[in-house]
Amino acid sequence: MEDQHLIKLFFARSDEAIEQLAVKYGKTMFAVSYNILQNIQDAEECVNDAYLGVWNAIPPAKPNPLCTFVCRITRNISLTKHKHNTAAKRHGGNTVDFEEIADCIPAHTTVTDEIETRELTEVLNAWLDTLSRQNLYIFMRRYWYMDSVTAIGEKLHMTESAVYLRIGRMKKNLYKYLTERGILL
Amino acid sequence: MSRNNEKLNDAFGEVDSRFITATQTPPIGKKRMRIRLIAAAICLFVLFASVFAALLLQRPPHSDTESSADESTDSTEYSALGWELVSFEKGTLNKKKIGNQNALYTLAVKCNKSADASEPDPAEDVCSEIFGQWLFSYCTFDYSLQFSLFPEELLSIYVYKEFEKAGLSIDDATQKISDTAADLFYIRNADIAYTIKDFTLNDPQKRARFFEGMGVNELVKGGLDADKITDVAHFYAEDIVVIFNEQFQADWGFEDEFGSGIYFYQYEGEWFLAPNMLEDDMSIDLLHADKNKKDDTFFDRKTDIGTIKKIENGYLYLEDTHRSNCYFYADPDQIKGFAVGDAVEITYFSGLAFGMYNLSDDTLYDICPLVEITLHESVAIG
Repeated sequence: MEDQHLIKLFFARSDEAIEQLAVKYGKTMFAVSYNILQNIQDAEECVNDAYLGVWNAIPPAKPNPLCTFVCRITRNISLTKHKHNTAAKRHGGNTVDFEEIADCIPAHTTVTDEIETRELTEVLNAWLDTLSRQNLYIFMRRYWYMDSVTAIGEKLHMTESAVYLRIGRMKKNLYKYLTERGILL
Repeated sequence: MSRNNEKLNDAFGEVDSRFITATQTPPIGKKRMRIRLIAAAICLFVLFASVFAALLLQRPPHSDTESSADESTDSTEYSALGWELVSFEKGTLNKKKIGNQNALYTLAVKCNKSADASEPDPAEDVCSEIFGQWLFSYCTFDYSLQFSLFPEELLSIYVYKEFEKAGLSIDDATQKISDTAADLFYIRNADIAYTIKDFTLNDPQKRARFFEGMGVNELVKGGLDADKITDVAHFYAEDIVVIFNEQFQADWGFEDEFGSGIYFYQYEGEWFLAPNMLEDDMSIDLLHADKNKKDDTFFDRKTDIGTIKKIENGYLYLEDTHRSNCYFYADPDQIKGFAVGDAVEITYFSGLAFGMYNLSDDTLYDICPLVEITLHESVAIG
């Protein structure tokens, strides 16, 4: 089913909307959630919450592309769940290393207080724009979709070590980029 | 979660949708596709040539004149790739010891200038040579070569203070890094080729971009006077090919890596690479690497048994091993006397198993340096 038609179903408050959303994007949403939580039950729960989130957001939202929109909702819900699990020490044991994105920042360095999240996002957007397609794919799959390095390597026909090396170099590049712009102190 | 993490993660979660959409499917490696197309074309050509030759079987053999003409072809061309790369040969040569093995390696840099290049500028040749040396050090982690491309002012900020912390003199630390790199990355020779496109010298926009970013502020912090930077050069590097030991091609998306081009500057009469190209953290990591530690990040010594299936250019390919799809690179003296079919026990470094394409079958393999090899009678074959 086309995204436009799916959105029309949401606008019409049709029960079929969630059903069709699950058919079209359910697997992708589950993968995003599972990569973060590493727990089937938690991931299923988050995907269900994400369906509800999409239902509440459309209307008025008319997202384009829809897939990115639903993945973002799923990711946010899953991250919140992850934080909750970690705080309550209920985490299943399979640590997910999405936090390593900040490994590029030395411990003694801090993100300047003046910068708002929105501004930081704009800087990150500008930095992502400087990446090649392949590097962008590696970085986004690792830190947005939380794919494993093995999975990324398989998709790009690269060895794990080559992916790790690329990630290491990109993180260093990001650190320099943020430092040059006065975002890291 | 630390505050840095939280802020970065929150911001990263909100990045533009186009990045999320664009990365739902993996990009297609254009260069690999190009090589495969070339391979397919060669296969077709060979097929047609065979048919044609069969039809002409009755004809007398070629004359001597034709043979000598064939021999005059430059043997250093990258015929394995099927590309005509060389219209200009710059050529730099570097020799050094590899670890304790007294081996020498050579680096040949070949540089094409793009067709649209205007009057050649001497600065272009200098910058090209610097880039070739940097690319080699980038691929092989030989930072002793890389450090010479940057001024002391920059090295003092990022590198030398770490040497001091490790209690090593600059010379000792540089040598240690260099030896570590050589242990990890056996190179007899490397062939590097690239095309320089859109070389500019003191282009106002590029100059402004250089002074705004590229880490120039770090140079100033180190005590360098930015006013003494007389020239700024910039070019794009395309069609980058790096082949090690005439056998393996490193295809690590170089063009993508250097998409925004490479900057150079002249300070008190000497040309340097832009500070942002210094890979200081990797060099410091290498300084602390320890090949005697079993689980060292870089070395991670492993043992395995297997049967030699192929010996190509000093590379061993084993079967019946735990580690599949891997070539082990050895010093030629080390594998003297070993032959295909021998059952062997090997020790190798697995920390940085680089993926590279074997030119003989256009397949991606891990490459690990071999440390020791002995005959092992008990390996089961098949």
